[in-house]
Amino acid sequence: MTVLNIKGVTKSYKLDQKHVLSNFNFTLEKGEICAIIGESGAGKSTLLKLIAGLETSDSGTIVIDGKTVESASKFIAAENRGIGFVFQDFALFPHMSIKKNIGYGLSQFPDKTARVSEVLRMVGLESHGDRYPDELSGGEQQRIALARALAPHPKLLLLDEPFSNLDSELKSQIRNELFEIIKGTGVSCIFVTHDANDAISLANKIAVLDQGKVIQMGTSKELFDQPLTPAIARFFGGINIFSHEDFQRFKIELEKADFYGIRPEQIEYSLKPEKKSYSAIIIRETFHGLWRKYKVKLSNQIEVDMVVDAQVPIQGKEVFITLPPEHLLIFHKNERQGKV
Amino acid sequence: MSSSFYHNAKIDKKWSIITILIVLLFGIPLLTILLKLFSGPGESWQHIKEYLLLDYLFNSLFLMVACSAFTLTLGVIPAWLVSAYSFPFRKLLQWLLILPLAFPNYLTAYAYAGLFDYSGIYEQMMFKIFGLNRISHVDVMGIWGLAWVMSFSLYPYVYLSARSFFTHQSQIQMNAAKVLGASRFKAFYSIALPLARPAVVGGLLLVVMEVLGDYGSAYYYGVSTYTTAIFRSWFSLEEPETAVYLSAQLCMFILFLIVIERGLRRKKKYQFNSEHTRGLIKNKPKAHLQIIFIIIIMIPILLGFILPLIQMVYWASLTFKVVWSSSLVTTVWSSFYLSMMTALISTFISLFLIYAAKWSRSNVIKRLSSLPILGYSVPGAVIAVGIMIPTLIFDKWLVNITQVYFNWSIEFLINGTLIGLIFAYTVRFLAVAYHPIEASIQKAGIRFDQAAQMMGVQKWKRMLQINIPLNKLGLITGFLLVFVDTMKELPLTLLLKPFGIMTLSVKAFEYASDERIAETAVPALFIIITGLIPIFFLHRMINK
Repeated sequence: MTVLNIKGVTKSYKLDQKHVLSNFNFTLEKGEICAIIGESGAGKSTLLKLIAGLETSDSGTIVIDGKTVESASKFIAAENRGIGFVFQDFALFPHMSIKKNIGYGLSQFPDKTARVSEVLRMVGLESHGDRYPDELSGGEQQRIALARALAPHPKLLLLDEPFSNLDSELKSQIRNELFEIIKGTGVSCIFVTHDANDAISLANKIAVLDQGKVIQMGTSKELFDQPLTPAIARFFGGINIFSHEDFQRFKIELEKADFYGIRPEQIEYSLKPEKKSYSAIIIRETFHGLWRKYKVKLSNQIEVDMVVDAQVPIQGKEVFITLPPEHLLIFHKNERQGKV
Repeated sequence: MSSSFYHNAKIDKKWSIITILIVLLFGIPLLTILLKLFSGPGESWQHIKEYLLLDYLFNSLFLMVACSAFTLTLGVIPAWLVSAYSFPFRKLLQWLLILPLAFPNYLTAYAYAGLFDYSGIYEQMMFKIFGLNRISHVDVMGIWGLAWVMSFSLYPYVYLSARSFFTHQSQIQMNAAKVLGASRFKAFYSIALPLARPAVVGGLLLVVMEVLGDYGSAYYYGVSTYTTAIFRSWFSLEEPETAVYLSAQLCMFILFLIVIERGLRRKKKYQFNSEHTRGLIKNKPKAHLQIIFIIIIMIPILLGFILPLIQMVYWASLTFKVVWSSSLVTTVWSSFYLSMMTALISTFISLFLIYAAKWSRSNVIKRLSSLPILGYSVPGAVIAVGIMIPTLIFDKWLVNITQVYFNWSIEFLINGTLIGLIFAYTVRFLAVAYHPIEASIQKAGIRFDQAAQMMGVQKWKRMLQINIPLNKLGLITGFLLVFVDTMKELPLTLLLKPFGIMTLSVKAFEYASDERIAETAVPALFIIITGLIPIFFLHRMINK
């Protein structure tokens, strides 16, 4: 069942008249968790605000749970849309206790107190109900913000950069905890992030936004294995990109394309020449804990990055590398792609 | 308001319509006045034009220029010293410097008239020191005296805007000047001062508006200005048309000044990136300089607050028994009641307009909603005239209609009633509540409101449970500032006060006009003491 259907939505701001979103289309099925990624200014936060009703579009239709919430002739205000929203800086009301914060959206609920206790238990903070937001740690505030958004049983949950305010150590722990909770409730969810780890580990669908359009959408595996642009490939980790001309020098038979790429982890090496290998000179080595990164210069003058296990560093100055064709990515220039 | 506005589903009609109604209601006095520009003056205009207008013009312009120069000197120098240097009592002095705001300028004017009177404290001291051969008599009762005396009570406007700019001024610019070899003094006049110019001009504009709108001081000092001329045409010449015509001219002039100020500000908008904006680092000067600084700062405090206060307390001690009566209690109550009502209504309307704009998706509403605060730039006497005319027409119509159709005979509803007076005060002082409330809301941000909105909470409930509690300090400040401004207000009250109602400001004015100047002290002290309360809040808000 489709929970959210966005059709042909366009939005521009008065100031520069530039379209933040242009003829934007998107659907979300029940129970799906979708990550929206993209560079800053791509329109990610605007998209969330439009869905929530905190902004209005210039044209287009938004349907939530079968009900049109925005069209040319209709606009349902944010307070009447029944959507949960977790704000980037949590926006917990500083003058209300945690219980009051959570209970704030529950005036229609027959048993408000029971629901507040229930969601507090769900996020594991039953004992914190009478405290105030400034008495909680960042991680606890995050969990309360989620509890508050989930309390009224929203049809759709939106999270705007939910982890950007947490330090990295805390982040991975909280991230997994939170999404276990979200999955447990079965609510459909969209979250905006600029962190590849968030997107890969939490979402079952990722949408890449560029210049107000979805340029690619799919599972994290699809996006990782077949990124449409070098920029998307880069979002999920380091990659060596070669132009068509450079790639010719490898003499590998492959479909004609504008760009080719390979991830540093997927480059193979040996200390002796092998079939179809290229000799290379190590020009830089950096240590990254579990692994080491080498920048090498090939006999054909091309420089590439490669990664090896930190426990088995390469001895000597010369290596022989191969680019397995099954790991090579190809990219076509396309009108739909903004930046390459 | 185009038809697309009305058919736009994305606009909340209820809030929009109320906003438009408020804007129209507040626009009536100003429009009435401006339209009169075209219908021409009364019979005495020819006489005024030939014999008096030049005087009014010259005096008003002279006061404007002189007060600007004086308040600039009295305001900017102390503002720089307390922002850029550290010395003993700095924090205390910083707050003492704004105390003259508690004095309406006509009370300062009365106090100085008394201080330098032949039987005043100054003369008595001179007599005690030098005996009969007095050195010199200081005559403050003239245009120069008036300019100085008004500046003593008005410099805090310049001081506050300059200080607020200096304290938020980036140290980076000063450092850049320093590494280029500038002394601290050179950095002040070549970097800090030019950068502060838009802020200081904003403060000066408030001074000029007060000067042009003043009636009490100019009348007592015998200086004819545009505002005194409005009163004179209305009361002595009994020619409202001419009063309105003069009001319209004055109004146009002030609007012209506002446009120029806006233009200046737009051209010279110095915004600092908040990340790089660290307040000025305060230098600790040598001991003798510290003493000199303290003395310099004490001058405006002494002139604007301590001396007039001494005079008032002295007078009050002489006249308290005569003045204190049950009718004074009634007067105090009327002043409190009027100020309270005005402050409540202004605070409420400001809050409404600010959120109506924030919540509206229509740019028309967003722009319209801030129009009513223009009333602050219109002198009290002008607003009074602008309200008297349309309300008289409305009340007459209402009396007529009820007489004809229902056979009821009713009194006037607005004209010459408390409703009319409170409405006029609200038109005049809405901006005084609007600005601190808006600043507070700006600072808190809209995110809490949006969070509540996402939880399905409707506007009024959000207002009561989220927005009002979160912006408490801003609301209290706005409320108190209007309260005190209403209490101090004189020209508008004189013109619109219902028969039989007395306020503290009018009482003080009447005593002064009857040459019973010492008796002004008791009502004056009530006004001044009340005025000190919001200054405390204002100080807290600026220091936050």
